[in-house]
Amino acid sequence: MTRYGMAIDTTRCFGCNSCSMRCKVEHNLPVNVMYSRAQTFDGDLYGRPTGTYPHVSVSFYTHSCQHCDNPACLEVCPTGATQKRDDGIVLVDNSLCIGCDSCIAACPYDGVRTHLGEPKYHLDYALGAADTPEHLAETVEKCTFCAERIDQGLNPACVEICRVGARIFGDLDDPDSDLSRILEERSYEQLKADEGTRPNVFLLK
Amino acid sequence: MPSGTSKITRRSFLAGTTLSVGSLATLSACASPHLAGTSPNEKEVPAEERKCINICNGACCNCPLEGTVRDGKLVSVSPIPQPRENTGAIKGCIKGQTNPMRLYAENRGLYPMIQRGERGSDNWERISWDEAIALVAEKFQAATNEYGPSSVAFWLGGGNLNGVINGNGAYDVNTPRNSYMGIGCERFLSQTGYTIFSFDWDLPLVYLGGEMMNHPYFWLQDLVNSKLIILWGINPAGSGGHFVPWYVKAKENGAKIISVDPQYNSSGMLIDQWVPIRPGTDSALMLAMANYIIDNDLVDQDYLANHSIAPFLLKEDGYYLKLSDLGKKLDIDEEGNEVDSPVVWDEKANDFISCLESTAGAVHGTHEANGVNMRTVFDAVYDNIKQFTVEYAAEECDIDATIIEELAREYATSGASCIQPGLGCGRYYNSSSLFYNLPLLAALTGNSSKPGAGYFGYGQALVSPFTGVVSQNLDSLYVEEPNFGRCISGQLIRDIAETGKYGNEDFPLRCVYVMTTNPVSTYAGPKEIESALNKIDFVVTADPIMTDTAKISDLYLPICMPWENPDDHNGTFMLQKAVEPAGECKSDFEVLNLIAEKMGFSDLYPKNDQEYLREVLDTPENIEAGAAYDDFKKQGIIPVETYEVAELTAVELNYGGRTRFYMEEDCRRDDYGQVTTFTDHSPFYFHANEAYPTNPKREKYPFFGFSFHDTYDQSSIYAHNPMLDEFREGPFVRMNTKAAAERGIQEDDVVRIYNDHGTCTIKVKLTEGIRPDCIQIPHGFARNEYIDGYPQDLSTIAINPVVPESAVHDWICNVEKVEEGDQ
Repeated sequence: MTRYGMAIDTTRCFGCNSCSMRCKVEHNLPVNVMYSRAQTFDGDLYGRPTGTYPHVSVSFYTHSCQHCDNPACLEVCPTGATQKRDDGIVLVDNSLCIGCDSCIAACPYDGVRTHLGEPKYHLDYALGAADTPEHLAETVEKCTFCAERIDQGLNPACVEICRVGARIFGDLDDPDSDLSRILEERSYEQLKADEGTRPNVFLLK
Repeated sequence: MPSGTSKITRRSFLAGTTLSVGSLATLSACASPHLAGTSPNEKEVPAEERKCINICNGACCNCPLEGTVRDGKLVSVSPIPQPRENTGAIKGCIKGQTNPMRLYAENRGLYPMIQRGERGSDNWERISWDEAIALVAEKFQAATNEYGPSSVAFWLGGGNLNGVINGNGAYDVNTPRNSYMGIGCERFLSQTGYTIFSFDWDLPLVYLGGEMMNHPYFWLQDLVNSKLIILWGINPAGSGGHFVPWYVKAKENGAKIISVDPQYNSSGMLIDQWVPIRPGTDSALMLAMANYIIDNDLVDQDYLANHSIAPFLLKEDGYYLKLSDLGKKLDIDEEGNEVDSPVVWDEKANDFISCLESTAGAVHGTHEANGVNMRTVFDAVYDNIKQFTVEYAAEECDIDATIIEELAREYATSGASCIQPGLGCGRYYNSSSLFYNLPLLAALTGNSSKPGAGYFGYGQALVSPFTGVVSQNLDSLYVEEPNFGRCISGQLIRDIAETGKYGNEDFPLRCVYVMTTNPVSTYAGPKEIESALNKIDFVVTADPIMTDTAKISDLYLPICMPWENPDDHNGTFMLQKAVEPAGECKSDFEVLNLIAEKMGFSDLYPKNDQEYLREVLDTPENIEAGAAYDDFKKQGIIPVETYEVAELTAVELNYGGRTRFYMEEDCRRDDYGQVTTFTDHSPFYFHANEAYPTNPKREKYPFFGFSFHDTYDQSSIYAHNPMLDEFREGPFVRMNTKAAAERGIQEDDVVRIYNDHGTCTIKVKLTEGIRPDCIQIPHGFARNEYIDGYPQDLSTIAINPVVPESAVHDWICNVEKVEEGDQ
């Protein structure tokens, strides 16, 4: 079996958000919609340090859908729009989504989903990949692990652009994948590991 | 006259890595096509896509980027992908990805426009290119006829630095210049003899350190060999993302990284220790370290004596004693030419001998020979710097003495220490001293010319995954009989406009043509610059966007952005046209062609842009190397066959391979009769213009203010960018949490920052990562993006007599909360 996951190396991520912008462009995301965003462990978006002057420190990670093994969003979806593929990727089929926001309420990871109102754009033509799915009003969107790229044998866009190699994507069921190997070698933590969601995003320490 | 084929110069390469300038403002008359609001979800039949290479031109790193074009529109811009193992090879940041947004931003100018009524009245009227060009030609011709060619000046900036055809950034002020701009500009200016205002950015580092002192460039890939790295006034994570992989690698290799900076920023994830220095006092800390090293027997005596200029002998006139002074036989260089080398007193030979032969130079001592009195450079320098002790710096820089001592000791003893100086400490009136003090530290400790050690650089990796040209044919750069006008620092417009003189010479300035620079937004003292421009009869701004400078001009000419016209980036990659220019925008080359023709120079440009490009690139060497016009035209950027990160050590480039911390030649950038002294040419600390602790005005204005270029901010070219605004949420001032609390200021409050020069009303973000006596403001947003006022208005022009950097960080201020009803 294939089970996709991603590691974020917090000793390398410097919060540049190049990945988040790449994602935004690649998927032609509407105004104020982001699937991913860099932040500090305090949840601060400006990279402010923790501690008290002058004894401070800062580290970053990127926050997005955790593509959980036991996703809290799945069962609460009344229409079956939220689906988990055989390879572990959690997707929202927006043709089925009614925008009830049950998934937003159930998911313990705040801020990884957006309820689209009427989507607005900065430009009058579509950016990004030609095959990017349409964004529909009154639906919920989130990170797709770039499923359409994965299906073409490509890495997710955010992985490809990371200049420090802070994002490692791969198959958790393949012991030889880069991801499995680094999880073997390094210590890591998972966000809200005690919620029972079994997230597949790992923050390398 | 440069002619024939010439190699890419170090200077032009450096210039390509630098800069700062640009800017914005909105105008209804320039509302762009492709601005939306609607929901363009339409994804009909997938249209054919093509890739093209172009440049960000963000007035910083000039990164090559890859664009995707579909249906004639630029749908994506991103760094050029690299295999994962090519650490550090990906250039381009989050800002560069917003290039499609920039093309069609609301501040984009689309048509030539003339300002009716007073300048700055925002009373614009669209006119045709024919009318605009006729007006420019008429004004230039009239000024030239009455006052001579120097009365027309071109103010050139960093918005378009290295285009072979359209480039228009002038760093150096020599005549003719060592570096060159695009053929469009150079041919026009060498024909007309008009004045050039060069831009005043990064000069302590690039001009003094790089050009004048010839300091060895420390390449990023050598960081893996460093044991100690001091980031001095530099924030690679925020403003040089492509440097970060090299620092990460160094850290993973065990290097200790220290940041000397008034602010703690996103580079904090890299560093082990933060030394929060008071702004403007960096030179005092460097010299305290030097004194501690000298006083505590930490000097690498062999390096100082035999690999630095310390034992060179200074005559009373400030020049080195040379072989000819003693009637000795001159040295012969590798090419067989005679060279008059500096002489040292050699303690083994017990004689004055050439520095090339000496292995036991005397660092101390006074001498007399042939009636000439002299002393060593080291002694002369030490007399001036010994006063800047650890205790002095502890007070001046507000750093514990023990921290300074530990810093000095670690620097001297790590085995391979590297200081990476940035622009944070480089934009003060007194920043020139940095590039004498840094090599002094290296000379004292031997931290140069060995793996992992260095003191100079601009965050550049020597090994690129792409190949450039071998040579360039610059035969057509200038007209056959060039008439070079004077090239001077832009800030001097303040005095020229006021007095009509440059030094003692008459200088009747009548017309200014502002090209891809935005001094009214980005220079220190923008109000003084505006006032100077207001004294000029005719001001034209030619820029892709309606800048704040354009707003106070008589005429605005809309210029192409990257992606809209073809060019070549200084022989390193081709700028391939991706889309048609917005509105009626034209390239600088086209516009100068039109002006030249109207002025009667109809044969000034016998070739078109592509023909010139072919001429420049099609040298026999390039054709053989597969890096000529057709190769670049086809590929845009040419990958190297194998990308290998070789170990590279920066080696001293100066005579005898000696580290140089004194400048014997007069290296003033401009000569208007100013007086300089020994300490303008050697290690020293003197106060910044306003940013120094004992400034009596600090009673009224207790805060030091300085600006930042960070993850989402650069020069004004990135103002009015709603895609970036989603991340950055507009301009704000950073302030220390405790200092704010003492004034009743909380997160997101609106405050007024003010001093005698200006005022700005702005939202606050609190942080523990800044000194309590400092505030930090953005540099680059346009005036109309602020609640009131403009942060750069708090700065003032302060012209260093040798290195006239625009001192944008050199100011103090007060901060007060603005109550809601008062906003």
